[in-house]
Amino acid sequence: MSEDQISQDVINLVIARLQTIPSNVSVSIGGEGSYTIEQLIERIKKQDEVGKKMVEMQLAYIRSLGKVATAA
Amino acid sequence: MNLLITRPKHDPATHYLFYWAGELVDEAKRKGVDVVDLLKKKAKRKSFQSYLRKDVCNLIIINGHGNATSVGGHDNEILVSVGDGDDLFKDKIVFIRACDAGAALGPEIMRKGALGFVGYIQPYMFPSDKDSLHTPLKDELAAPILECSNQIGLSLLKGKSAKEAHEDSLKKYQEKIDKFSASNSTSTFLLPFLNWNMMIQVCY
Repeated sequence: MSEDQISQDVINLVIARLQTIPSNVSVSIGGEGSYTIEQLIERIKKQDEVGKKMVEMQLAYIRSLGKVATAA
Repeated sequence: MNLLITRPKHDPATHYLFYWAGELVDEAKRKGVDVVDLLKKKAKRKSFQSYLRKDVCNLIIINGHGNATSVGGHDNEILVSVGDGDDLFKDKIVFIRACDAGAALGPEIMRKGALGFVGYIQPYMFPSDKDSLHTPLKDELAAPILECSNQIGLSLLKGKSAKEAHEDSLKKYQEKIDKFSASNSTSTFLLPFLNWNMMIQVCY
């Protein structure tokens, strides 16, 4: 994913998901640092490495839901 | 069993790992395990590799920042990397709680004779409550994720193999996922973090 541009639909989906997270939450992304939700949204819009990793994490979860549904 | 553990504390992420890894130190001491605790500024390459060379510890737990080929200590000074100290883990079990180190460093440590390895092949991510910065062990947002990775250390301290410890941890992740998937949960935003860290955890 890090090599590719992410579609606007996916960006909008992930941002919408992050906007449901309470504002007191910060996220530690290994050695990259800690970010507020607002900062993460900016990174996703910029599609830098932190933003792409956050998108990858959210998409991995959405895909995992598909596996649950298939298994059921 | 003797434990060598590193727990630097120089930024928000290592601040949290420092306290959560402290739970493992406490548990080891309760069990009568001898502990070499390289905490804060003591988590430096020279001390770390020196203890490994003395061959006094058979369980190694490293907390810090990492990448595919190395893992750091205090102020991210490299403790061990592919080609530098990766041969010092012969006959030892290793758990590295750091980003990416399971990608290349872990396999190399195993190739050079370690008994088992648990780590992560992508960035390890966790949420935290900004209001809980001074009480990381009471942070209800970070706890579900850090409890799952702490389970690896707790199982290893019980004498379990790396594979068994890894499986115990995955089971705990699944329990947390089931808990936060419940319709009355107000913290469903934790689910992607639990799923991610479970997915990127590897055992060799």
